[in-house]
Amino acid sequence: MRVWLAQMRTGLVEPCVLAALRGGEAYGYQILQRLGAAESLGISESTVYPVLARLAADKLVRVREAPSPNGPARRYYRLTSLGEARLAEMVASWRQVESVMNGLLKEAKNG
Amino acid sequence: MAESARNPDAERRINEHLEAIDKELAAKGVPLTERRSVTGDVEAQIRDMLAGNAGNTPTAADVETILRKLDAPESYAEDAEAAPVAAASLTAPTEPPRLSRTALIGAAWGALLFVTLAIGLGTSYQGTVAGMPLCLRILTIALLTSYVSAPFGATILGWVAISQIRRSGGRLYGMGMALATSLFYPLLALDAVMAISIWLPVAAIATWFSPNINAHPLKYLFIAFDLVSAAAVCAFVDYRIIRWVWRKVNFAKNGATTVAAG
Repeated sequence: MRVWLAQMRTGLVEPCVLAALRGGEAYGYQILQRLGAAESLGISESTVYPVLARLAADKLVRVREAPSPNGPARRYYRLTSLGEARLAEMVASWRQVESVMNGLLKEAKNG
Repeated sequence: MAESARNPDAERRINEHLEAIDKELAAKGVPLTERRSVTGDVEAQIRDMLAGNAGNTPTAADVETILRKLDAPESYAEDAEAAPVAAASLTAPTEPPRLSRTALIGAAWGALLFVTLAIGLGTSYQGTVAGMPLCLRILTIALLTSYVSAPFGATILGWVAISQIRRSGGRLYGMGMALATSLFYPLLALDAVMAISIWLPVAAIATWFSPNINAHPLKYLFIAFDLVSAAAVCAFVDYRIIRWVWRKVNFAKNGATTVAAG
């Protein structure tokens, strides 16, 4: 994978996961399914699960275990207030980046 | 899925996959708790996918089909390699690290006892309490306050400082000072207990040896033995405790250092 793409993807996993949890509590596989739209970014379980573990360690998400009908207990993740604040911060930054990029692309197209 | 319905070969293949992921993450220094979380999520996903595709008794072939759809264990290492860079850039300190103020105040508070002790020893007053000048009364109150509060205040602030430095992610340093502050008075108390515990049996032996030991020429031999053995035991125990605590506060469970020791 090209370096710039890997870096962009790495930077986007955390906001994508936090944004997926804005829809409510979910377990790992459910979060992956919610992120189905982000498949083009190459976000899969090997990126999402470690990020979830890190977010839990940083107290940005809260974890609750509940029995699963298919085997071991599922770990349900929920945004904490700290996580919501981090997501708001990320969304604001994203809007700025998006605006700058759109401006630059528009200039390039017109120029 | 009931435990009895599981196919041993299928289980072995799932465990191999989870162990391979754990190994890759461990090699990249991912802490144990995070590794368990990741492998737990992967296992839950595998079970869900198997339940959807293979029914109640999946075979090793069913597991193999599912694993082919999942990321290879090596992918976890690639992502773990890239992730700390991104995480570090989010939390990187924008200011140079500074000395922990809590550790500094704790150390100063602890040292206050000795400062006031020196002042007290250098001050000679022969009169009564009622006739004591105001400045001397204030000094006496300050001395008593520091005697009582320094051991507790310094120890508490020392431990608070250790906790703050550990959580600062490198923004604070002064772990050595914080540790010294937090352990000094507890170790002093422990040394006193150990010294008395050694002194009493030696004194008993000396009295048994000669009821009038104070007049005996071997009196100083007993005193020397007592002092040397007490000092050796105290030094050994203190060293072990300090080393154990230092390791505990500086190293995470997976062996990675948590902070710059400072």
